[in-house]
Amino acid sequence: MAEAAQTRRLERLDIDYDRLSGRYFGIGALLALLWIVWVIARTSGLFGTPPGDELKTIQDLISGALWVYTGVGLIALILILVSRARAAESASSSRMVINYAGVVLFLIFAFRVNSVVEAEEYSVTLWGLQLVNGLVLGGVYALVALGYTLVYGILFMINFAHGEVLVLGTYGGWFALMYVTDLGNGVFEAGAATVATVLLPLFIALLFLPLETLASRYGRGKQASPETSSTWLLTLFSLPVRVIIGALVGYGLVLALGAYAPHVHLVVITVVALLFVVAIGMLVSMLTAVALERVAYRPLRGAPRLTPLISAIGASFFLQQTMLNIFGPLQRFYRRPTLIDGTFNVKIGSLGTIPVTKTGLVIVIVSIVLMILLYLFVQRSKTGRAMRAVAEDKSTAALMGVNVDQVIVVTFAIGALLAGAAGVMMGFHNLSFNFRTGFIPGLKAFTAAVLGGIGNIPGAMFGGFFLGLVEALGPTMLGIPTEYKDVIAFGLLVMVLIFRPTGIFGEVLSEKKV
Amino acid sequence: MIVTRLQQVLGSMRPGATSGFVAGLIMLFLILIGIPINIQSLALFVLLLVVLIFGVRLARRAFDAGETFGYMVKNALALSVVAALVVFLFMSLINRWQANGISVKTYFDAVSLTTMNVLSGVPESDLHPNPEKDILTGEYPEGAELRTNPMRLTFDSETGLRLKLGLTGDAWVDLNLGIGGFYGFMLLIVVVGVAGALITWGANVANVGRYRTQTAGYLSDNLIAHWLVLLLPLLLFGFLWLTKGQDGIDPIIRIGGGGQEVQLLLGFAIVLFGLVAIRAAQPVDWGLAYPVRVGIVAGLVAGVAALAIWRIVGDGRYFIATDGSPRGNELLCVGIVLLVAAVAVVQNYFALRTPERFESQLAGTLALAILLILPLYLDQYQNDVLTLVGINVLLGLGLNIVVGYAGLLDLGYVAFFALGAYTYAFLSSNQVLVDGSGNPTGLKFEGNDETVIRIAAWVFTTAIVATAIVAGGLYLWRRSQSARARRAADRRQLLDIDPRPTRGVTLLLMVIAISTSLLFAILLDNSSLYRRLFDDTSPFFIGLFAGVIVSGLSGIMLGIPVLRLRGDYLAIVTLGFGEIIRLLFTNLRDFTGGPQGILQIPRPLPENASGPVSYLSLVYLIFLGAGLVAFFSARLKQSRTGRAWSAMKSDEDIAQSMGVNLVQSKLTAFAIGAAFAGIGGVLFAARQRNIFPNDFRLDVSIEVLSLVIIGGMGSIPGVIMGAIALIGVPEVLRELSTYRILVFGALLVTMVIIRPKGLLPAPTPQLQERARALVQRHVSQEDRSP
Repeated sequence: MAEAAQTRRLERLDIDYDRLSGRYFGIGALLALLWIVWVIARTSGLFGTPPGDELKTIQDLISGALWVYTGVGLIALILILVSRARAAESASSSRMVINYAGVVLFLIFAFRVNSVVEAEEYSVTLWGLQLVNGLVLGGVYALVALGYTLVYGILFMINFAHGEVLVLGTYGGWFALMYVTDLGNGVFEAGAATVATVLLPLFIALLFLPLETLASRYGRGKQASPETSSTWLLTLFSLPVRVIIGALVGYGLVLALGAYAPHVHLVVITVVALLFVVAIGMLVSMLTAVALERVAYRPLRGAPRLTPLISAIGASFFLQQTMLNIFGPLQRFYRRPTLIDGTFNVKIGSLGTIPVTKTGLVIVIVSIVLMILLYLFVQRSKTGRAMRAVAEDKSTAALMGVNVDQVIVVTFAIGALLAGAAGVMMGFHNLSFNFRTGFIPGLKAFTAAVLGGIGNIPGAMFGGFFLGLVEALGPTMLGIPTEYKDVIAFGLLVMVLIFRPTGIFGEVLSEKKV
Repeated sequence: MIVTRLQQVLGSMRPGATSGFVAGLIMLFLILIGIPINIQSLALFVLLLVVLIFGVRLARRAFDAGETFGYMVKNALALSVVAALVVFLFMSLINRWQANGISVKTYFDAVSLTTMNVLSGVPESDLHPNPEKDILTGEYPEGAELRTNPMRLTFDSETGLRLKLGLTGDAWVDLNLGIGGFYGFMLLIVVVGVAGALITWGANVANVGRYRTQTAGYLSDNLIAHWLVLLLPLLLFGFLWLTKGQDGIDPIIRIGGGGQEVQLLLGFAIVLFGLVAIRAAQPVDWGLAYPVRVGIVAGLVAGVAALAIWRIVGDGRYFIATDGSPRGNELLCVGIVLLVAAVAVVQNYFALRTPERFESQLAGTLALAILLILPLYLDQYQNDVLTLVGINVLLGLGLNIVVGYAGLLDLGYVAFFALGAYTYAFLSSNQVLVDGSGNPTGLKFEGNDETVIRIAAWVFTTAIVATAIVAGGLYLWRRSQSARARRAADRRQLLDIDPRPTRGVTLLLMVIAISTSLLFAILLDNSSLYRRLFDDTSPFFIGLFAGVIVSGLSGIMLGIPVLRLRGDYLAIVTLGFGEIIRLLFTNLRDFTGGPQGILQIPRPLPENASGPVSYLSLVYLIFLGAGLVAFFSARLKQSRTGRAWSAMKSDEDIAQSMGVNLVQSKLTAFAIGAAFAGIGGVLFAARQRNIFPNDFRLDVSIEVLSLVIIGGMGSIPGVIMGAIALIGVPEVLRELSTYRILVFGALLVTMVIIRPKGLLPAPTPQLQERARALVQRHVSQEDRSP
């Protein structure tokens, strides 16, 4: 009698149980994460050594809250399920059950981390080191994940061969590095000097090229006509004269630096040469991706879903084996110029120092810079607008006058540029690579893209860093040997696909495209 | 003026130049991956072939587009010159490196002095790097041997470019082209490119090629050609017999050089053309009476069986008994005759009743019979290759169910393969697996393990008897229902017939099945029959059973989390699963031996069997396995489950709204596919005798996927053809084995673009054909009636 009344009451409440369970899952996850962070902070000595007792009390409060939360959720779940069965409601309860199972998993996870960390009591330096490693890994994954997400957003297919594009960038960078080193007869810096002497003037000369357009645009914004713009000085000289002036200025700059500021000179030429190496790597990746799109993906535009996927797999293996046959199975090695060789030691108050490799720092900074540039490009530029239009609706964009084929090529190219940069930086960071180096990072970057919500650019960036952190911190937190970090990554993918298939930031695509 | 004229001319040559650039890149690709090193002088032929193909293509396109002869010549010239230039640019760099003593290998692993030798004709001994110049004088030291510069053009018959065509050892064609030096190679490129274009143009003008393509129906119209195709397997087998001979009769035809490989290729060709013959058979009524038809087919079967018996009896090596007694021979002969007769009877009983099926039955029986006696005519190496192909056919058929029937792209298929292999190895290996402290962790099942045999006997008996009773009961029920329906139709009554039995009937059937099977098991247990049946049983069959169960269950376990995933996500997750399994096998040293693997896995037969029987038994086991799996999957396709899969493959949502239980269908597909992979794994472990985690890399998954897709997704003959073409043939062409997966990848991309249905595609559904035929007949009848 009471149950029937309760059933009616629950029905009358008209709650969307699926969304409620989704919220429940979110809060439970946050609670578990809070517990984990607290216990790590406490045991590592972040709150002072020895940690106070009240901190332990807070920790017990949090963990207790999570247990209670889970228990209450179980009771609520059972009640709802029973009421639904009694009312013979046909609504599917699987989403609710899955979300609850997710909270249980988080509980188990937090519990395990708690027991491991309480027992081992790792120090802040260890956590900090892993954190830094995670960020470095994350930077690479984020760059590659952007390539996946860009292509998926437009073509709704996973570019399986993107991992191979990554490592081809590493190979390209290697060849460029060898070239510069050979120029300097085995010393990178000497070769860098030659390279910089050619490239720096060129670079500065090229800077003068768009000044006219920039000036006229800036001028037009302020006044009616370009003739009366305030930047008349720049338009005074014609284009070839400007280029020559720029070249001379650049050359002069190099000479002056060499004569009067040798340290700065060294830094400048190393940076220029490194940029050259990265640029060559990016170029190689881009050419491969463009050729790939033309040969393997364009003929299959209208085919059923399975076909481009198989083509992508075939292309991936073809590229991998090509690299094996052309470059051989042995590892190749990068050599770091002295500028980026070594580690910084970051002091954290009185707790210790965390060693941060210079290459790691470069990776994180360059990744973030590139991601910001990409975001600006996609949001502000004309091509970026076209890309977003094609991602939203290909045929309408074509009707609006967008050259869809060209936009697709540009998308592939941009994704490959990012992957090439990541590949070269990975080469400098890890020093050794061979034809198989791209495969696993490629898969993990795809995981990262899915994590963040595929088709979503900030999501891919977030997913990349998140996956990197999980991979670095996970084995330590869970107390399992580091060989299993790949298993963690794949496990995370399966979890995300089961519990939150739209990714953490949700997909930018409509439901039917999943 | 001159500038614009030049621009015009160059512009008209642009198509040729772009094609030439692509051709040059392809040639460069072939050079970089090491083709000249692996197949030496044959590489010259291959590279020139590339240019030739491009030249022909250009001329064909130009002719079809109605361009002038001059335009075609200009473009052909542009094509050849650009292609030659591309190769030249790269090879001059390599030449400079080689001359200065820079190691090319650190940059490009597959370019060496051999490459330069092949492309220029200069012998390798003359291609050493130049000696160091004297620091003081800046010249080479006295009497130093200088490097012969390969960048030259000579007309020398001694050190010219050589054209060689042949597989291994002796070549069929080996001639010196009389032109030498790398520039000579470039000249050849230009000549071949332009010549190819000119000849194609001329052929098109004379309408030669067109004539042949217009008579595409030549083969099906001509009776002799048709029967030639049908009987080709027999002819090829005859040829094989002539090259093999028999004990007492020497081989009549001898093949020098790669004789073994050629015979193996013949064997493959027999199987392939058997499949083609079955496809080519027409539903034609030959007007022969039923006994005549049966007589012809039976005569064929008898002839083949006689051949087999002659082979065994004539060759004194096919003993089973180890003491050399002739008893083994006779047993084998009787076994073969029975096997072949059983195959013939089963296959033909129903089919020969329909006169139209005579041709296909003839072709099918012939192919099957020849296939069954083929291993007797091949030696151990060839049989080993055959076993490999057979295992891959098994795997392909399993994946065919998951990908081809159900449309679930599973990239981690190798995981189930590995599970089956490791289960069998775990249960039967003679190696003792120990953990870190030396305690044994393995689980070895001895052949006369009392408890296990009793359990196995119980399980087998109950399973078999219960299945038989249930199947029989369902069949009888269905027949009675359809009889009821027919009677109702005769009386012009509508009756709603459900072929599934009612609840009461199902309950009764289950009770009968369980009680009868338990009774059988108890009776068996009390008699000593099981002991005589299973005594000293090879652990193979227990291992097989266990392997299938383990794989099947893991298939279900994989299926559950991926139920809601589609397309790309499913592929990646299954890929991850495959990698996880391999990682687990590598790292769980205590149970799986780690990277060192498990060794000393026994073969199905007792270990002291000698002679051909030891490998023949494996071959026939694999044939049996593959045959059962093929039969099973063919029947599955026609069943309700198969139709559910087909609906699911087209569109999951619509299938679900039509009442297909997606969860059940997907799980069934995964489980059955995994079980078949498990069978393959057990057989693989038995073949290899040692397994390592490295045998179960992702590459294996991709290979199996390739052979399913390239052979024909959803088509059983396609899978067989794929296995032969992609696994069997590369085993023969061992020089090119490094390129195997490269070719697979390229073939996947190409086939999916050009011919997505595969080489031997699944035939269009019969219902569609019948409907079409009905409509045709109706239309033609209407035409005839006034």
